[in-house]
Amino acid sequence: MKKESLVILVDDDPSFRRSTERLLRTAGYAIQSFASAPEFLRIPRPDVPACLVSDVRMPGLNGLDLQRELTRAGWQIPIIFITGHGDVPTSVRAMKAGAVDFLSKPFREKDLLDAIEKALERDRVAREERTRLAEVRRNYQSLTPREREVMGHVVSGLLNKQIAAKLHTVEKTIKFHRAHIMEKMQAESLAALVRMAGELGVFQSGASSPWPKV
Amino acid sequence: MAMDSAARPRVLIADENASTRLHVQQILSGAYEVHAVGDGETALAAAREHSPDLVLADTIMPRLDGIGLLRALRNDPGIRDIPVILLSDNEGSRLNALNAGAADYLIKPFSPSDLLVRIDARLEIARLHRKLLDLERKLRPTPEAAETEFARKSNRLRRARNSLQRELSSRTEELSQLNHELIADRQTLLSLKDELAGELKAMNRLHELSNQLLDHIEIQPLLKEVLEASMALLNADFGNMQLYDPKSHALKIVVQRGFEQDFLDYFDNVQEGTASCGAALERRERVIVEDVLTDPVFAQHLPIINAAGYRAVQSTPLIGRGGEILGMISTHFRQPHRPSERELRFVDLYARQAADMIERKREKAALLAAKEEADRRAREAEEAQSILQAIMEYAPEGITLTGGPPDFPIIANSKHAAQMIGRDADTLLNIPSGSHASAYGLLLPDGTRPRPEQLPLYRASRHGEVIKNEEWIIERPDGSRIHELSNCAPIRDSQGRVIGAINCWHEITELKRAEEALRASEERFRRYFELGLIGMAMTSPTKGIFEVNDELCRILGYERDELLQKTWAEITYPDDLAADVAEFNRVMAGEIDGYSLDKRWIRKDGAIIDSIMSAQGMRRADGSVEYFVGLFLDTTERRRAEEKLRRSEANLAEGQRISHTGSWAWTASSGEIFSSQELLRIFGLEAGPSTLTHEIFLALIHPEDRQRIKQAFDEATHNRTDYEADYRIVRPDGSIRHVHNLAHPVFDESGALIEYVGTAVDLTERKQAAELVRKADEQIDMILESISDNFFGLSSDGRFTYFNKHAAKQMEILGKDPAHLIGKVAWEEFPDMPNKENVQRVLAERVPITDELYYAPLGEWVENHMYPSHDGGLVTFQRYITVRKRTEEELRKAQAELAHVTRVTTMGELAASIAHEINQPLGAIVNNGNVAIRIATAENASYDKLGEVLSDIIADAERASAIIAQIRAVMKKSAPEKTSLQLKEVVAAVLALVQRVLAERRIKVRTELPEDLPRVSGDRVQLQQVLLNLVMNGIEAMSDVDAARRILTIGGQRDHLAGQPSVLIAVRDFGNGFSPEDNERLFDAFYTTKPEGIGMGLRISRSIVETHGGRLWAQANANAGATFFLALPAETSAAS
Repeated sequence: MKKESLVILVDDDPSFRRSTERLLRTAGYAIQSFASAPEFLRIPRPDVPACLVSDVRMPGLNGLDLQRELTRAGWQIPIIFITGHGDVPTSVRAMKAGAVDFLSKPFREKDLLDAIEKALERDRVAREERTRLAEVRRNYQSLTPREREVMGHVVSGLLNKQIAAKLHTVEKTIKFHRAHIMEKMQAESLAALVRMAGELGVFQSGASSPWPKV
Repeated sequence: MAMDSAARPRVLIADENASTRLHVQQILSGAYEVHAVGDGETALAAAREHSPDLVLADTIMPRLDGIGLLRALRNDPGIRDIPVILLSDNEGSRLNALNAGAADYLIKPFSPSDLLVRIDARLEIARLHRKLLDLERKLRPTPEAAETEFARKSNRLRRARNSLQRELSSRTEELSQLNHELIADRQTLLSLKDELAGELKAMNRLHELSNQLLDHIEIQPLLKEVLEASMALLNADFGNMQLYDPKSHALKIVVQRGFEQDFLDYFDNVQEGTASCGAALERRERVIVEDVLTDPVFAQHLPIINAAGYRAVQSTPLIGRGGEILGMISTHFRQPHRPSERELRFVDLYARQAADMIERKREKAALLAAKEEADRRAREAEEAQSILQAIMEYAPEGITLTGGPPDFPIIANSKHAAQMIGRDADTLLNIPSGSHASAYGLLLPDGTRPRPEQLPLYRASRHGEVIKNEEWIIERPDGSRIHELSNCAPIRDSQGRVIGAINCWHEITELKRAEEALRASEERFRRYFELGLIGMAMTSPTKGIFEVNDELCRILGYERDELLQKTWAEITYPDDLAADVAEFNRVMAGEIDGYSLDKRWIRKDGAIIDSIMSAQGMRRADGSVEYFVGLFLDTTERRRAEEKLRRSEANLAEGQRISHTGSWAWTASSGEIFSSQELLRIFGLEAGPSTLTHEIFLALIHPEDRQRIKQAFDEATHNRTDYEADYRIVRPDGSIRHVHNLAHPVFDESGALIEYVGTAVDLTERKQAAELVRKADEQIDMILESISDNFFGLSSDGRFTYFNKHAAKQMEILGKDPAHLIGKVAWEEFPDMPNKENVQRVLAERVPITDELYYAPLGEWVENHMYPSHDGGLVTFQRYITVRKRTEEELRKAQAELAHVTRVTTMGELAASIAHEINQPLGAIVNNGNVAIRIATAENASYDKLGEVLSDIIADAERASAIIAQIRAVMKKSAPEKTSLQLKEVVAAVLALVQRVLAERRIKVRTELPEDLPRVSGDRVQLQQVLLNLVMNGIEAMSDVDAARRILTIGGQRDHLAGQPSVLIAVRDFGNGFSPEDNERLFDAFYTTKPEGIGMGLRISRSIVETHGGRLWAQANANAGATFFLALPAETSAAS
């Protein structure tokens, strides 16, 4: 078994499905397969890195429809399309919508396995990024309301003195808050804090974003 | 010594007073090399000779005083720059001295240090002056700058010196203080020296950069160096250079020094007004921010700037030769700061240099882009060229291309064109279009030589004309002619100017030949038609009567135009209509080709006309009836004659029964004649005497018959025998009657003759009727003789009874004497007769039969129309149809080819889904193959598992092969073959083929085909093609309608076609339907609404259906979409 991962296969052709399932199992992957897109859409999302291998042409919901459905549902699972007959416009549409690869049946074993590795790696990175964001969010939750207020001003570019005046307190207090904020947010620099604020979307209301309008 | 004198500055002292000279010498000799003279003249000479570094002169001297010496020196170019310090014991001439150019003015007595400081300062200034001059020479690009700088410094010095002067003159006690200032001033000068050295270095750097620029296109490192140089010059802590992107109106950093990534990301894209560089971009001039904390430009960016760590910044725009902003050079300082004007001027120089670099780089890049564009165009042209070559090589069409103006010469012919023209390809090129008629053998359709301006290429190239389907003849060198259709158009460039012309043409010789044959045949028919011996008409089943001849007009009493407005039903006698319609329908249904009937008509004047009508359906190649030819023989006269005859015979019989026949008795003894009233009427003697004599009778007999009758009567009375005679009488009114006379002698007991009793019958009407019948028969014979078909009759036992002229000629050709054939049994005379069975069937069953057969002895195909005749025999019209047969055969072949092409095209539209179908099993095979390899090469190979995988591979391979077989079955090109078919199965096969397309397009199919649909006889592949075409049309039609509406219905039911049982299939879609105009064009060739279609599908489908004796039509649905109907005759019996 390769690291913790799952390959999901959607193809309406039973014989092709069985052979691909067999191939991926032999190559050491955990695999789940489905005869149609709706069947797959009903399952719970796996909590390991996963990727989707799907036929483009299927009766009912086709591959591109499935891709659209997943985007709408916010499930950013990397997709590898396979098709019996791939025309250029379809492949371009699929790749533009973010597909990892587009393979024509019959394909070389290596092409499929490479594409799956690439897709799983992409999902792994995406999952880590989501974890990191969740941590930033958690850190922010741990700030007191006053600290959040101060942070809003800090990242909007106000000097301690100015913040103190705004909040009717002394500069020293602001300095104290500021140190706490940096520590709790695990921010190494003001720039890092500003970036986190951007990710959280918590600039002081009314203050314009410090980023130049492009 | 030389080295020593070169190292130490030389001072020339001129003073009359020797003690002063000595004193000064003592003060200076430690630091300078001193030369002392006593008067001005000597001093001038010494200065000219030695060029001292400085001259110290007393104002009052013999021969030439101080001011005079000063002026003399200033007027001598070689020594004019030597600084001169004047010494005096009063202030009196200070102004004069300074005005004359004295470097300094010193009042005696002076302190040694004062003197030394002043001389030092002077010498230093002179040295710097020289150096500046030197620099100026070196820094040729900016002489003004250096000069200004120098002037500025000189002024500054002069100001310092003036103030010093004032201080010295007023406050000698503050001399020491003054000294300090002088020393400070000297330090300033020393630092100035360093600055100038720095400037020199900077200028050299600029030169180097300019030179590098000439060789390198990569600008980044150069800009980096410019930035480094600027930062070094300004002692800046950070710096960056940005390029201006006119599209986004933003500045983008290209090189930088000292900034973190955060800062660079933040200021990655600076718009007008943002920060100092944005402000400089907006104002189009340099912006200096001495402290970012106080400048509003930076108010909103403080966090990031604080993080970056600078306080001051200057941003100088890089301005191009055209005045536009190319970029920005900014330098930043950790502390609040303002760069000096001098520094800024150098920044300007760098900025100009950088702008120059960027512009040159952009020019070079533009040059490269232009070259790439040119290369790309060349490549494209090359590709277009090779595509054109392929077309010219392989297109099965004649294609001729011309070059451009003014001659538009012919530059290329497709391979096919050259073959068709039949001349050496090289002789066909480089001829101005318009002059190529003879080289190409071009002739107008009437065979004459065309004028240049008639040629399609000439018209297309010179007048921009588009020519469609114009007919031309090409005469080949071997004299053969081919007919072709030209389609010619101008070729235009992007401005719409005509730069050539293209002519696409294809051969239609075969078509022309068929047309010729048809025309000849029509011509023959037309002559016959107009011969006028018999009434003739041509009628179309749809358009009614379209041609009648004069004879028919005469028979029916209408003008031609009137008759063409009538329908048969209108002029047919009502009682005869049903029989005619029944026969007509049989012809339409294809059961018979013609029929004959006795039929009555209503003349224009209301009279009833009797006729024998013979109608013949003329069929198209597909078997449908194009028009009818009807022959009409007016038999009214004949019938009337027959009726009169019948009536007179009846009168006769009645007369014999009740003595209405004229009767008479001749008394032998008296010679008196008794006569009945009727007899008197016959002889026209109603008003005459009641007793007649033999003489009176004799007088009434026609003079030609009189003698014969008198003799016959005398003989009868003499021999006492029966008397019978036919003769004519001439009535008193002059009319002639034919009379048949019969009499018996009557004897008494003794055997003596008493009298003759007789009857006289008026035969005139009968005679006349017989004459009419004879004439009518003659007329029919004449018609039969003039018919170009062979015509012959057989008796009920198969003996020849009659031949017309043509038939007789045919018999002669076959080596038989027609005269001897009469009375001989047909199949005995011609044992090889191929249709003997049909002939015998007509005779036995009394049904008309038409057959077509090839008669080898004649080498011709013949068509026989055999009708049972009234005498129990039959009549046969025989016609040669070899030409028609051959044309039909060729047409059938061409249609089969076309059908195959269309079938392949339709399959092409299915290609994507077919590829998918095949690649499914192939994909599975490859996967399983890979698994098999893995299993087989694993250490613990599992043969059970391997077997399972291999079975799957075989199953998938079989599946792929089955799919291919299915496609091949539809694609195969084979001669049509009629078999008994169940349409339900044909529909199922077609649906299997399009199953995936239906699934993908989410189209539901509803089939409503009853189990008991009659079978039809037809070619499976062709009917599959028709249904595939209809189904594909339905699918296409619904490609952009709501999913809920995508339903394709295929229904079937029993029906009737031309009165015969048939099967009706309806393919119904809910697509966008079609307009009434479309309905008429749907079945036209090359009409298509599909981008990939060739527009032959429905056309071919219709002709396939029609050759099956069926019909194919379309109808827009009331609510949505369209329905295509396919009607095919039901199979009648196992025999057919």
